[in-house]
Amino acid sequence: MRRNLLHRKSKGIQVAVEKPQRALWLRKAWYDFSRNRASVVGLAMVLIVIVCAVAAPIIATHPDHAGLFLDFKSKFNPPSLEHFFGTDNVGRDVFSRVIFAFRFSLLLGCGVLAIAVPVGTILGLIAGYYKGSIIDTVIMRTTDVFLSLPPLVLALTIASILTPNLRNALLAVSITWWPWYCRMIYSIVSSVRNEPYVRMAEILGAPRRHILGGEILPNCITPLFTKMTLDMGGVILLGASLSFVGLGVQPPTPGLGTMLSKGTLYLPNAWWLVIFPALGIFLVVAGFNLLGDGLRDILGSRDV
Amino acid sequence: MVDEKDGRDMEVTSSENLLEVEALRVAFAGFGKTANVVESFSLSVGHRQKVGVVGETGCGKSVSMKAILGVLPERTARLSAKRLVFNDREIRIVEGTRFKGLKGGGVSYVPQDPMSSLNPVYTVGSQLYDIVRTGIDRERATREKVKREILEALEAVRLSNPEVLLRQYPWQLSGGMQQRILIAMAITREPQLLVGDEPGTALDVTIQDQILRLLNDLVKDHGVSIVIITHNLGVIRLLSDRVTIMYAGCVVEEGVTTQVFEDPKHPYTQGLLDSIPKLTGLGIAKGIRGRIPDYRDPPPGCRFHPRCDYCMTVCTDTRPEHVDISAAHSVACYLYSDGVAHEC
Amino acid sequence: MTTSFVLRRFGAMILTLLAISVLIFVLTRVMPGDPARMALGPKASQQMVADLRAQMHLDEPLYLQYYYWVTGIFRGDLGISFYSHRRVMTDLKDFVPATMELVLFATFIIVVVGVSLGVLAAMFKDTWVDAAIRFFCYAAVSVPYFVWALALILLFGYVLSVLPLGGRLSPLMLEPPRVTGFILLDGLLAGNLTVVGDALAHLILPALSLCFGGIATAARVTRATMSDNYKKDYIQLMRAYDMPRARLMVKYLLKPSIIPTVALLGMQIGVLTARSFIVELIFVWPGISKYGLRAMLCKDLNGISAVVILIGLFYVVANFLVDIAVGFLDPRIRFEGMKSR
Repeated sequence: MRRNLLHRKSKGIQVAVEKPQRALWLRKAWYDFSRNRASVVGLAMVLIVIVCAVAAPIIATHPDHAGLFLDFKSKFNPPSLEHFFGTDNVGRDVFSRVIFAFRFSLLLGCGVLAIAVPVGTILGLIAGYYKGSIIDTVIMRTTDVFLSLPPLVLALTIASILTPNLRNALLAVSITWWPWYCRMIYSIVSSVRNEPYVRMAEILGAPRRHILGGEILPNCITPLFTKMTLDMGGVILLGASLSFVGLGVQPPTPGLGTMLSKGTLYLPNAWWLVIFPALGIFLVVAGFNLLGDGLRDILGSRDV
Repeated sequence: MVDEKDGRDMEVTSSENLLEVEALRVAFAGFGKTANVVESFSLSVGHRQKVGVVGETGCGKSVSMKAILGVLPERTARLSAKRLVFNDREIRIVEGTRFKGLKGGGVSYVPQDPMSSLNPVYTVGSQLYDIVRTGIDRERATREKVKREILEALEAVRLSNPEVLLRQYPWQLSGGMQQRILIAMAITREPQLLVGDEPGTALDVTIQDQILRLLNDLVKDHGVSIVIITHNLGVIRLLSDRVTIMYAGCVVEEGVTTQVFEDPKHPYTQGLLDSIPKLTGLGIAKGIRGRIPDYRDPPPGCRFHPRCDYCMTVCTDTRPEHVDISAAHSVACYLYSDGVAHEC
Repeated sequence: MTTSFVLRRFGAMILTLLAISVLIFVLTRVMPGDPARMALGPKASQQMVADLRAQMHLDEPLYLQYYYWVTGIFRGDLGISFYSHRRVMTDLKDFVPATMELVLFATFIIVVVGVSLGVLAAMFKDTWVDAAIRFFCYAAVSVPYFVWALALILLFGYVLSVLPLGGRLSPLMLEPPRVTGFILLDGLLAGNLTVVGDALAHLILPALSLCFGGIATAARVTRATMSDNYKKDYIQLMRAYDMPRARLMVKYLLKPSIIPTVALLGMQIGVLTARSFIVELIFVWPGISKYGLRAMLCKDLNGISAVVILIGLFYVVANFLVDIAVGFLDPRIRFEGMKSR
């Protein structure tokens, strides 16, 4: 278990310091990472998506097509130099819409993780620290209940109860996702909790938040980080599935799932309406999966 | 006369010894460097004889025997030997990675850790059955025959209620019982040689005692020879007729147990025997300074020289050859060869 | 020992089902609006609504409502759809077996194909066979399942025109007499092999889309476990005894090694069920997804809760069966701490 020794003052006693040599570690990590071609490909894919999302107005050839825009004269144009990915059923440029859709996908992913990770981690920390007590039972049983349904079904149910839009899709996916973090953190914390250095901190009288935050939590950082990267793809996929059935991003906002589902109506003639959003989804999901796998290999997380 | 030192002429009468190994070398190819674990291992086991191989953890005693039996991981092990004879059969090396012809035929191996050596998802009976069936030739392999052999073997190792045992899973039984089952497994092959890897080490001392007595009785009643690999000098003294002392992949001393114990010649052996705490004497036993070498970069010459109080210049140069102290005692040390050099 | 194990797992299953039911019930009662009014529609009279309210026990305390709701489910009464204004049960009766057949068939493929690939990869470890299988697993996992579905449709449906594209049976085929609701089984029972063949042709593409990721996981886990277990003492000892390699691998190495894969199957079935929602749409498969999605889009609470209950039931029962299977394979779990010494 990688342990991050930090500078801490516990009731006036200076605890040992061992700052890792960051520069050297980073260089070695990059060397290990780059030996695995798939991971490097994953990193490249993710970078492309991020750049597209951030610089969408610049990269997209027809940025205004990503909103409300109608041009029935140019509908169903196959891919050309003017419209790289063709146009859709109301004449919008598919390429620009895909670029902007990346934005919303990443937004969804970051948003969900921003909610699910803290909630799940805090609950897992508490449950694991007070393992065996009533707090533990309550938290973990609740987690189990949420996990007793397949993820997509739960998300669909919640999304369907609320008004369909991006914000509620985010909420639905977050509710579906936090139990996985809670469970992972719980298992790490339960095993770390009895390690000698944690016991020592308790005996020395360190405040609870130091023990949780300074001794136990650093053990979780690596698996957390790896899992977050791996999950990004899964969350975006779940979001796209919700959009696919109409419960996520609503038109005219471009979403990869919505574009895909609309596109299937026009198969096989307007094949570009399906292929390109599908490739977009593939780019995002596969990119994060490969990147996450590579990270897991070099960071050596057994818990992910 | 029994001669098994490397580099010397051998005059061996053919059916004198059950097992003869001469100058076995075992190396493991790793990433980049090769680890030369066993530098020179020689062993001689006579009929109805109990031979001990002693050394500290990591000295290569297990590796040597496993290499002979052919149980090493095939891909990374590199073997070579000047001579390997079992039961008058010359065993040859196949592709430098394993010995052919020895596995299963007359030699049985009893592994070190009884608690992890039996498959947890199959019953004891089912595993024994398959083992026996593999060793038996076609015509003898009826269910009843096999079952009877198994039951006989289980009784020979003094397990009560063998019928019930067959239906149980290994983890339902105690370590001592599992160890007995492993020994039973070994004797169903009717071996002439039984190799026991640290027998009883993983068990309570009292159980270990029972297991060792059992092994003794097997020699007496069934006529097998035994090779005992151990780091425990007490076990050696109790059980073996002859002992081979190993250090860092080399045999440093060899001979009849009582002689070696009464008059240890090699500094390492002396250190080992000194390390045994005694009830009389000066309290805490003296140890041997230093540690075993890194096999990827072993010390030149005698591998013990960095830890030896009597080290001489010549010891850092070339490996000492075996010298006969007496008919039943030999040692590989320059202290006893002709020609003394300067202290280093 | 075995019966207590089964009983304990069964008890856990019942508890989980109860928890799910409470969760769903809370969700349905949390929504604003009058469920009775929504069930009958705006055109019904006040009296009808009042009658239905009494029938649904809507004015009684919540725990009593829960009790009536649960007992209603046991009687097969899943309520009245807010959308179609018909009993939910009648609507679902035909759709449920379709989805289950799809999911179970996909599970079957995962087990057979995934484990075989894993075993092959382990037996021919570090050869081209292993590398090819690993590459396939990577690809299968990286591509999202509905992208696979669309790709398969394009390839086999349009480009190659080999397989049919939608529904369970070709338009002119008649369904065999309903015994189980599974066309494959019913067809076999009736001895009608053409129907079985046609049903298979329709099943294969949607099932494949569902299970690609699962095959990759099963293969990866099986391979890793087998290669880990190969180094274990009990396998090496058998090698020392010259056990023929075939029997060693297939009997003594395989059984302990597929345990993690089987254990994962439970979760995988859940994933498959969830994915079937999307896949059924793409392949126009007449399963509960269409009904369920319409219910979700129209906020048909009874419809939603019915679908979720059924899925939950299926998932929990499947997990229970998987647990039993794991116990069957691994005696340590079956006996669960009851060692005789």
